Parts: sequence; C-alpha cells; structure tokens
Amino acid sequence: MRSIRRMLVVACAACLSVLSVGALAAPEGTVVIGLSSLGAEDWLVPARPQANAIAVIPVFDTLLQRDDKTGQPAPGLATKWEQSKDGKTWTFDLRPGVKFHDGSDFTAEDVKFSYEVALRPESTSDMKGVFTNFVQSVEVASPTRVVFHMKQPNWEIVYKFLEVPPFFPIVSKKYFDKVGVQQAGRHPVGTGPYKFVEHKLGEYVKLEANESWWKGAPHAKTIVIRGIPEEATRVALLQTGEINLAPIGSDSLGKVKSAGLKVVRMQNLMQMVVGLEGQYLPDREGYDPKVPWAQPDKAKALKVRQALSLAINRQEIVSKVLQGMGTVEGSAGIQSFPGMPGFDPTLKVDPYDPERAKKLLAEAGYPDPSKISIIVDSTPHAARPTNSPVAQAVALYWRNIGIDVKERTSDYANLMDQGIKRKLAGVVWVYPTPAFDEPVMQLYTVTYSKARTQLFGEYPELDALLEKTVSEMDQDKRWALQKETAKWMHDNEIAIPVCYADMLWAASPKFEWTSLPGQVTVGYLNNVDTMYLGK
Amino acid sequence: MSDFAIAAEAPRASVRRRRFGFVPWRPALILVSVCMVGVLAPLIAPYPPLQGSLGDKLLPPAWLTGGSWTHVLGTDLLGRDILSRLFYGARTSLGVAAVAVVVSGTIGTTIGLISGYFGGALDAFLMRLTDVALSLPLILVAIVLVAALGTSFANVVLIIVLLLWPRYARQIRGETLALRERDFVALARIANCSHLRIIGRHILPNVVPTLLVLATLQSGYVVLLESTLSFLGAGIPPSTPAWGLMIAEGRTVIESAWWVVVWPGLTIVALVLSGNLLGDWLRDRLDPTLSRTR
Amino acid sequence: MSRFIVGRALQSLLSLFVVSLVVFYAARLTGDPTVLMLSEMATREDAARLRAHLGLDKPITTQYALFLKQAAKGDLGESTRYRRPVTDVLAARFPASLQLGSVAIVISILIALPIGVYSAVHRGTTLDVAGRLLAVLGQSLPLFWLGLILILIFAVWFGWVPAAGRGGPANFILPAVTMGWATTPAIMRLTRSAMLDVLGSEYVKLARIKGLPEWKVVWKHALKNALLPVVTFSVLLFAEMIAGAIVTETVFAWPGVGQLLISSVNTRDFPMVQATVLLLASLFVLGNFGVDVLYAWLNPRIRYGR
Repeated sequence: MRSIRRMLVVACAACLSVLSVGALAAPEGTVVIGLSSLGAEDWLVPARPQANAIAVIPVFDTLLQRDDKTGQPAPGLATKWEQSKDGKTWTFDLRPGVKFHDGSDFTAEDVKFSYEVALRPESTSDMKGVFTNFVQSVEVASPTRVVFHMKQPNWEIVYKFLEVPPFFPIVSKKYFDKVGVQQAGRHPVGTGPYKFVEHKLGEYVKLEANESWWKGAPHAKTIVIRGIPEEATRVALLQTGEINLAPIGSDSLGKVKSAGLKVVRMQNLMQMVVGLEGQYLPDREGYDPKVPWAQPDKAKALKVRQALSLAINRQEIVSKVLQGMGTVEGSAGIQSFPGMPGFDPTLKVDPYDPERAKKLLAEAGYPDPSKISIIVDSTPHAARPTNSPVAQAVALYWRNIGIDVKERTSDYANLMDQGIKRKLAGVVWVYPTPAFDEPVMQLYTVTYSKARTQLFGEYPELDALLEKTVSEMDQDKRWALQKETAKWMHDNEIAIPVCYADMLWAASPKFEWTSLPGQVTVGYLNNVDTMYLGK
Repeated sequence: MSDFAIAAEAPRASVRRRRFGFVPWRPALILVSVCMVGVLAPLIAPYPPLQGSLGDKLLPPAWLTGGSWTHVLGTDLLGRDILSRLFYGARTSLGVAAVAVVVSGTIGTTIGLISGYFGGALDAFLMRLTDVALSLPLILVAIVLVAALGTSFANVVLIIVLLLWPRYARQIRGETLALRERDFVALARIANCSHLRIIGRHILPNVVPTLLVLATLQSGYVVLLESTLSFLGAGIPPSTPAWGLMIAEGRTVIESAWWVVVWPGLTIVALVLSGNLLGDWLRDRLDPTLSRTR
Repeated sequence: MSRFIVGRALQSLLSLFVVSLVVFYAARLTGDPTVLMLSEMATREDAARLRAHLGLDKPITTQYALFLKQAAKGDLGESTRYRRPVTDVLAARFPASLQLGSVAIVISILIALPIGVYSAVHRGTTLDVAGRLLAVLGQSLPLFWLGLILILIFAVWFGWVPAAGRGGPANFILPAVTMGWATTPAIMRLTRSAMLDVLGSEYVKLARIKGLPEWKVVWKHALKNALLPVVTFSVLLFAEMIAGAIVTETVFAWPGVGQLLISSVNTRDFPMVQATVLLLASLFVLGNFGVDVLYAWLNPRIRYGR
C-alpha cells in the first residue's frame, strides 16, 4: 500500500514538474522595441550587410554563436568545427533535426546555398568580400557535414560565422526555390527563435515566437520592432507604455530615471577614439604637410598629438558627458578592450595636464596655441551617436588651452567618403569603434594603408605589423603581435583614445533581458529570445 | 509663409483699416533693442559665448535651487552661459536673417520687376522658374548643400535665400503688373523714357513699401527656419551661438533643463511678434495708394 | 480659355521636366551611395562593382537619358536602398502623408475660419487683437519643439492620446495639430482679410438694406464669397504642407513622404529622391495650375497677360 502511494506521489510530482516546465516554456506577452530606424527594410540576407538586417536578426541562426560568458565561439547550427592540419580546410558538423520556419529540414545544402546567396552579383554583404578573398569552394560532404576549402590558411573565418557582426545567417534553399528570390527577401524564413510575420513599410516589423526552436522556446510571444527617429519621442513612448525598449543617449538618462524607467547598460561596448585625420602617406593627394600633427618632422608631430591628448579631461567626459556610463581605466590601447586578445593592462591612459600640453605645443613650435587651427567634426555616427557630444567636449577642452577650434557637422556619408579618399587633412572627429573578436580584424580594415577605409593613420611600420599579424596562424603568437601593435600605436599616439562608452537602452520597468549580448555584438539585437515583460 | 498668402493678405484699396499716427512703438522698441544687443554683445555679455566648463553643465537659472547669480539664466549642455549666448545669438540669428532677406529681396525684386514689366514669354519663363524653385523641398536643398559644402553661416544664408527669393519675385511681379497699367507709366512711355528709367524711377519706388512689409514679416520666419534647419542637421555649425541652434540642441532636455530651450524660444517669439506687428502697421500705413491683382 | 489652359498645362509640364533635371543632377552632387551601402570592411573592387551595377559609372547625361526613357514607360526605377520599385515604396508611404495632411488642413480650417470671421466682424476689438496674437504664436514657435511639448503634455502627463506612430484615429490628433499650427494663422489672416473685403462690398450692403439679420449677412452671404480665396489658398497650402511635413513626421515617427525624402537623401538613394521630389513637385504644380485656371476663369484680364 505504502509503496503504491509513494509511487503515486512520485508520479504526481513528476507530472507536475513536467507541466510546470511546459508552462514556463510557453511564450507569452509582446515586447515592442523602438529602434531609431528600421534600416533598408530589405531582408534578402545574407546578401545584405548586418546594418540593413537589424530587424530580422531574431529570424535567423548562424553556424556559431558567442558564448554569453566568455564571448568565445560556441555551437550554433554547427555543433563541431575543426581546422585541418594545413589550415586550408574547415569542417563543420551540423546540428541534426533543425527545421526552418516553413517546415523544411536544415541540411548542409542550405549552408552551401547561403554561401552562394552572399556571392550574388548585387550582394552588398560583408561576407561577400570574405568569401571572395578567402574561400575556394564549399563542399557538402553529407547532410550534416559541410566543408569550407580555403584559398590559403585562414584563422578569421570562424569569427565571421559568429552571430552579428558580421552576419552570415543560414537561409533555406528549398524556400528560395519555391517562392523565388524577391519573395524570399520580402518574407524571410530562417531557423531562428522568431518567425517573420508581418512588415509594414516604414512602420514596423512583427515577429512571432518559434516554439520549436532548437535552443528552447523564447520567452516573449510577439516582438514588434518599430522605427522612431527622434530620441525624445522614444523616451515619451516608453513613458506612455507604447514601447518597451529603446536605445538612448546619455543626455536622456536624467529624464529616463526620473520617469521610473529601467536603464539597460551594455558596458564598454565601444571605445571613443579621437581620429586626427591627415596622417596620410606623403604621396597621397590629400596629404597636407602644414597639418600640425601630420607634419614631416615626426618628432614635432608626435609632440602635438601628445599635447592634444593631455588637454582632454577624460574623467570629466565620462562623468559629465556620459553621465558615468563609461570607463577611462584601461582604455589606452586603441581597439583594445579588457579581457580581449591583445589587451595590455600596462599601457597607461594619458593624464589630464593642460599645462604640460601647452608646454609640449611650445616645444613643437607653437608657443601661441591660437595659431593651430583644428576643425572638429561632431557628425553623429549612424548607429552609435554617442560620439557627437564627446567630440563637442573635446573641442571645448582644446579651446580652453587656446587652440583655434572650428566646429562643424557634415553628412555622415560624405565624411566617410572623404575619409576613404584620404581628403580629410586637418579634420578631427571622434570614432566610436566597437570591439572585435580580435583587434586586428578592425585595424586591418580601417588603418591599413592599402585598405579602402582610412580612419586613424597610414604608417609603413603599422602596415608591416598588421600584415604580419593577419598571416600568423598561431593564436598565441597572433595575440602577442596584437599587444605589440597596441603598444606601438599608444607610444606614437596615432589616434587619441578617450574612454570606453556604454551602449544605453531605456526600458519599461517590467522589461527583462536575461542574457544581454556581450561586448563584440556592437549593440545589435542579439539574444532577443531572452527578452520578456515580467509581471 | 506662402507667396500666395502674402498676396492674398495684401490690403484692398477699398478698405481702410487703421488710422495713421498710431505707431506701434513697443514692437519697434523690441526690434531695435535686439539689434543693439547684437551689436554690443562683446561689451555687455558676461562671458565669451564659446567658453564653458563641463563642471557647470546644465545649471538652472539663478533663482532656482542649484542656480547661481554667476549664470543668471543658467547654463547649457556644455556648461556655457546662456545669457551671453543669447546676446551673441542676436548677432548670428539677426545677421543670418538680415543678409538672407536683403539678398533674396534683391534677387526676387529684380526678377519680379523684369517679369512683371516685360511680360510675355520672358514673364512666363521666369514664373515657371519660380515655380520650380518653389516646388523643390526644403530638405533636398538643405542636404544637398550640406553634402556639397558642409555646415556654415554662409551655407545657411544660401539655403534660406534659395527658399525665399521666389516669394518676393511673385509678389513684386504682381505689383509691377498692376503699376504698369497706371497713367504715370503710360505718360513716361509717351515721353520716350527708356525701360530702365521707367522701372527705376517710376515702378521701383512704388514697389519698395511692399518690399519693406514683406521683409519685416519674413524676418521672424527666417529665424525659425534657421531653427528647423539646425534640427535637421543642415544649419549653423555646432557651438555657434544662435537661437535656433540652441533650441535644437536642447531638445533632449526639454523637460529636465527647460531653460536651455525656453530662453531662446522666448526671444524668437518676441522677435516674430514684433516683426509681424510692425509689418502689419507698415502695410496698413502704405495701403491706399496701391491696388493688387492676384 | 482653352488656349490658356493648354498653355498653362504645357508650362506646368515644362516645370516638372526642369525639376526632374535639377533633382537628377543635384542628387548626384551629394556623393556616392556605395559608401553607405557597403560596410567599412568592403574593398575598392566591391565598391566599383556595385557602382557599375547601379549604373553610376556612366556619364551623367547618359544616365539622365536612360532615366527619361524608362520614365516614359512608367518605370521610375528601383530604390537602391529598399531594392523595390520606387513606385511601390511611394505607394506605401504617400497615403500616410495625404491622410495626415488632410486631417491637418481640415482642423486648421475649422479653427481658423471662425476666428477669422469673428476677427473681421469685430475688427479692432480685444478679440481681434487676441486672435491675431494667437496667430503670431502659431508662426513663431519651432514645430519640433511644439510637437515634443504636445507629446509631453497630452500623451505623457495626461495620457489622453498615443504619443507617436501611425495608427487609429487617436494617433492623428497630435501630429495633425502640430502640422496645422503653422497653417492656421495663415488661413486665419486670409479669412479675416477676405471677409473685410466682402463686408465692405455692395453685395453685403444690399443684404443689410434688405433687412436680413446680421448673423445671416455674415455667415451666410459674406462668408460664402470669402470662401473662394480661402479654399484655393488652402489647396496650395496643402501641397506645401505635405512637402514641409518632415519635422512633424520625424518627431511623431509618421511614415510619410517627408521622412522618406530625408532618409533617401541621407542614404544617397537617387531613384527614390528623384521620384519623391517629382511627386511633391507635381502636387505643387497641379495645385498652382488649378488655382491659375480658376482665377483666369473668374478674371478675364489675367488670361491675356498684357
């Protein structure tokens, strides 16, 4: 009798626990996110860059994911990945039993197909360049095994398969075949935690939970993403409850806090770096030897750059401009973030010393600082506009030591365009650089003389360091080289790092985001599956 | 303000509105004071307009808690004294308005005079040109110019001129058309006066009053336009003391630091109000001698 | 008369043609769209290939000729940003602008008309001055500030209406009031001016002599005649308002054509910029054309120009 009763109790307990797990797993509620823009509202991934596809990130999965704690590669749609001995082949074992939102099975064919989509002639995706430069071919070894044959040994490709950025989502070949390229771009189908439901051009995108997601059903049943350009309006909408989450700048913090809203902080997501434009190779058309920090006398140019750095009160910028949502400590290495490869804690941040700055300027041949003319461009970055108030603060500090500072804003595209053409000599702007899995991945594209984009400076020594780093297959040696690069850039004060800055979101009081995306995600909408509205 | 609005608002010969002699001295006083403040700014402003310290960020006006009499009207986002920036702002905002109105007035009047006087194909061509200019949206003109030339005082003036001149042209053309039919013009033609003489000596002086009215009425609008352009990022360069820019830059703290926006806002309202009242009075004063067609 | 209409119609078409030319060149002056379409990691070859794909490597005159050829067939091109036919995007966004504009102008007229009439009838009194002061207030406040304050007061503090975004009838209120705030003074002044005209006319004198009650004289007879210029003016205002709705659309996240134009210019989406400006210009030109014809019909002297 007793044993039967005991068995019944155990059985009941078991039933209850199963039921309760089931109850927890059922998605419920709607989360409305107010982004500043819906982007290009063209969802033909992976033929589009990640900035365009923000609203559909939750619809797709990538081969690998970032581990929430370590930031290192973790299984996504691929469960195992291995590089061959000669470094020229990467083999990925794929997760079995995963289905696309339209019911079709996910196989290696889809990975190969996604690769082909990224290579389409009109594709503007970052992966296109990566694939063209590094990948020879993609082979479907079996329904659950795909092999990437590389042109030469390459260590970067694994990082490129991690979530966002850069964004290589896997799309369904069968779906594309069935509805055609255009419809696949209008109504995307993926394997991710949310299904694409509805899109009203210029207004919103509606997503619904994919309860059979391989990682477990997401928390919120519906996600609506709206485009709201004006920050003050976003805060107002949060106050009325019409939206639940929105990105904000530090100036709105006071308002947000006093309204009783929640602040979601993604800490140290970007590094504010003052780019002193004009440090071009001497044979460039846009090179102007009269620019004080780019003059032919390297020693004097260095003194000017150091002076400019010493005149900036970094602590005050963090406390007053960023309202404390930032860190000065450890931010001395350009593109270097704590805990990431190449970080060197021994690099010291320049102190605030305006007197010494003036002395250095005098030594550099500028006893009267008002003879130095600087144009500070405070154009807000398209996706990370915190750089604008920081730039204005920097202008203020330089004015306070007597430099003739003129301010301006341009059109962001124009600024980038002129930077690419190396025609920005004499201009200074603050670039909010995000963390990358390895710093060289960013530096190689933005401060390498042979690269298309040019942000910080062109120097043959730097070029050599970057080339050496990129071709180094051994991870430890590569990380050591990146430490060396950071030190070189620090000692030569190529650009002036100011501080790390947080990316801030304001949210409804009951909003929860249990797994905040880590540092290398640049603040994109990752881990949306862990968002929900509490009771 | 649409050109048609201006045309339609023009007084009719048949109606007498106000008695002469009632000079609106209050608006005139305000306008003159603002001009004086702008001119004397370096002497009367307590601080240089660009000087600031982040430590003094967003101080409230002196009579509120946290405020101090060193910054009577408070400070802005970069710790700069608002009162000083208001004074210097008079220079910038009025300067932009004055230059823009003078230049667009000149261009518009010239085109209007030629168009109205000679008529025919020239008139049609110039009016269609005016149509084209009027139908180009503000934002397009603004952003194209910013993309090509960057933000600057000269650029803002250019944008405003491009937007304003068609309105003057239209109105002046209407006036010229009417004047052309008048007896004294016919007499001048008979006396074999050259076209230039007729336009210069007979028509232009009669058109000047309308011009003055328009200019006065437009002055407030121009300052507002500067504010809108700054909001769109196509206006005066950052940090320049200018009322419109001060309002645009302060919009994230509209509630928490209302003083950043309210003081420049009030000055703009005062300016527009004065401009309008003065312009209305001018128009009423100069009313009876002219008639208007559409 | 018909000769006049045809003449003006041709001139309007010519205007549109010139606008398209100006926009075509002006847009391309703003820079290179590939800068924003590709990320920082793209190579020069990527950029060159994309430019060729978009047809931007050809000389401008060739590009314009191609554009005209296709436009004649009704194809205004594909948006380089949205990757859809520009007509599709406009078809989705333009109704939003039209709806908001219509509501705004109606609200504007409903407020301005009575005040204008009252002002005219009770000319010189405190009410008249008060009305005119109100009008000035409407013209002296920056629209974006007004919009934000309205949101603050009515959506956040009182919670009576939604703060922003397109939606049901309640969503129209704040943006329409903001948009109408600028046009109300103009309509009000015009009404007042037109009413003053009519009230002094023989027609009204006759009505008074006939012994009609004053309110009938004012509201039934005078207003009817004053309405003509007011309505025609409102038509023109409508066209101008839609083009100028950018600030309202930004503040209230209203998916209209103004917002579209801004983002298209910012992202250098040339086909979209061209199509949008042409649409707005057509609206304006059409309005002008209609008003011109109407006035010519009413006043024969204008028809003949000399």
